[in-house]
Amino acid sequence: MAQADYLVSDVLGKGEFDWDFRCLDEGLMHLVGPYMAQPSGVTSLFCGALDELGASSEGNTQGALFVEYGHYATLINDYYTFHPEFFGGDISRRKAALLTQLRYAGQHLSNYPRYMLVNDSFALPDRQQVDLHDALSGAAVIQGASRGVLLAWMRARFKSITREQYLQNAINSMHSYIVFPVALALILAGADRPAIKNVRIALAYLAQAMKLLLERETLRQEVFATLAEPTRATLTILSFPGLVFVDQKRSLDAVLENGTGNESVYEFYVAARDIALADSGESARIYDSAIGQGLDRFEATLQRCGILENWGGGLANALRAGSGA
Amino acid sequence: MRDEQQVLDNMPASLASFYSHKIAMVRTAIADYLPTSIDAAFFECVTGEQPLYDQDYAAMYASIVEPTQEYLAASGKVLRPILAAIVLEAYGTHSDRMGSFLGAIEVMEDSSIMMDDYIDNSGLRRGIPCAHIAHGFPLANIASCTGFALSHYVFYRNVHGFSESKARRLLDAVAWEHVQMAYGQLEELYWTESDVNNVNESQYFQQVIARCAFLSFRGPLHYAAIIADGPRTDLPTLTRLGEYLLLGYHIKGDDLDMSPDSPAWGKIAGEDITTGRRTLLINHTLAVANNDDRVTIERIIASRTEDEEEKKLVYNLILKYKSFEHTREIAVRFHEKCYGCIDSLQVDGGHKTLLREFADFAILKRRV
Repeated sequence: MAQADYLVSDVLGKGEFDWDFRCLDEGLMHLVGPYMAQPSGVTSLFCGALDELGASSEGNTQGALFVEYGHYATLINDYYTFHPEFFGGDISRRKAALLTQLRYAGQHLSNYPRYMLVNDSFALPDRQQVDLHDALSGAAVIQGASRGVLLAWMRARFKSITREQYLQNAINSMHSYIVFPVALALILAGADRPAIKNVRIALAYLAQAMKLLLERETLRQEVFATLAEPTRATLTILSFPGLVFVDQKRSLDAVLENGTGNESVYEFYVAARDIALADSGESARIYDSAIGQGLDRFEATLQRCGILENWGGGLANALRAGSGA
Repeated sequence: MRDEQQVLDNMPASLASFYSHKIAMVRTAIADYLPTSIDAAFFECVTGEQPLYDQDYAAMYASIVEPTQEYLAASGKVLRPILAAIVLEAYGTHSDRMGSFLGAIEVMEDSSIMMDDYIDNSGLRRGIPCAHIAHGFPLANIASCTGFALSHYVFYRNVHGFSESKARRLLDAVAWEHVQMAYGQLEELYWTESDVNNVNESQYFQQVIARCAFLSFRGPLHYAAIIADGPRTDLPTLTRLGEYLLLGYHIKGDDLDMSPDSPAWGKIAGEDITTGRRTLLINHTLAVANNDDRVTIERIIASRTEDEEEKKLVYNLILKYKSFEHTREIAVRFHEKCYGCIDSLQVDGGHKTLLREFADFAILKRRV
């Protein structure tokens, strides 16, 4: 079935007037294509959890669309929010308009899979359907809150942040990549609400470990500065090494003393890297400790839940082996 | 806060009476919907997530709630919650008991107009600087999309304690609106950024419905009818009513953008030209103008000019080709269609009068 026909029959409905599908190429796929070309990997968490839960993969693979499209929408939204031209003074009307068009092409990716809920594609009982809506909407709030806090911290030049505040925002930053996919698998598999709530606590520890692991690897390999756009920008939030500012904050002001006050996340990234490299032994110790703690607590919490233990144990071990934590 | 008496003076009698009776309750509900600070309990309530550690709630509040609060403080006419209250009562549910729902509708409105403002790169809204001007594009983006998500917690956290079946119907209805909205946004931004000059009226109407009806006015009508257990056979009629109300209201808004009739409009005239929007006015003029005039309009629209003389040139061509008259006729046709829908609803005569007067006010009498 042609894409336009499918949109009318299954997604948008006929409408009283005429849809214009000319936007689908130039106004959508042309814009989001470069982001969707990057392999995501986020669906592996969703599918792995589903497997262990014994849920039918046949009936639930459509759920991966929420995870996959949500991932690309998040990348694009982050690309927009942290675009350096927004931080360097006046941005041209044309540039702002083009970025905004991209951002709303990403929004379409985020909203589009909801047609499956409207069409009752998962044939869920009311409680599970409500929980799925809840998980999607809650994830949007957490994602926005984490980016908002990071923006506020950038404006305050990362002053007066506690370690706890940093770690919780790291968890929130990773919510749509770590917590949401597995929570979605649990909902589709029919897990009860208390069980889902407990597993989400375990997943928060995993999100902490994953965020810090990304930070450490980014610092260690210095890959961030060598990445091409849009990959570099879209990974900014995931890999931004802010823990350095919290645990080695002594030198931030010195690094930024010549700053303009309009620093984008890239300038802060360079500052963090310089601080970390100035005492690389201390940086490694800080990260190893926090990553190891996150993985240990993830595994222990899952064991207490009595659900997804094998999946979680295997994941934690693989991450330990790969990271040296 | 705008002058409430001015709003009432422009309203038909029954609607003015209903509005006077409900407005204090509605404004209190709006003020109560978002907190004045965020704490762990609120965070857990709206996200379902139990934080492991302490959070920087002050930074969170400043970035995701405060900008929406600034819009709410500049206060519009709150027409959408009032319409929702009419429908709740038309189907026998006391609107005073649905305060969170009514508050949510206005938070939905204000967070989404914050999006519209940075999409259009507008300067002023209700006489105050738009969020992207006051706080920058990044924060306006985060605050508006998160504020919009927060406006729905009344549904996804089932604040009013509806049955799971009703909660699901509401959430499915919301999801449908969101799919439509995102596609409508794609259409409009494509037309604008690709300078598409051959959008026909039917495509324009469908785009406006897709992009805006989630809030004006199909969404609130639907949600209120579901909450109040209105007859399911009324839902298709409410769908059309919401769409026709929107089209009449929107067309009038486009006309006002080009030629505001009051300084209280609080926006800059001709912004649609600067933004490059293909409004019904512009599309009509493009369709009927001679070649030279069409080329002139296309050039000016494509230039995204802020030059007053250039904008006046477009304005004069719109006058020359009687596009204002054309769009007003269309608005009147949609107003008549609203009456047709209202007549067939299964509600009593008093509420039909309120709905008719709402259509009069939103379309025929829309000023500021």
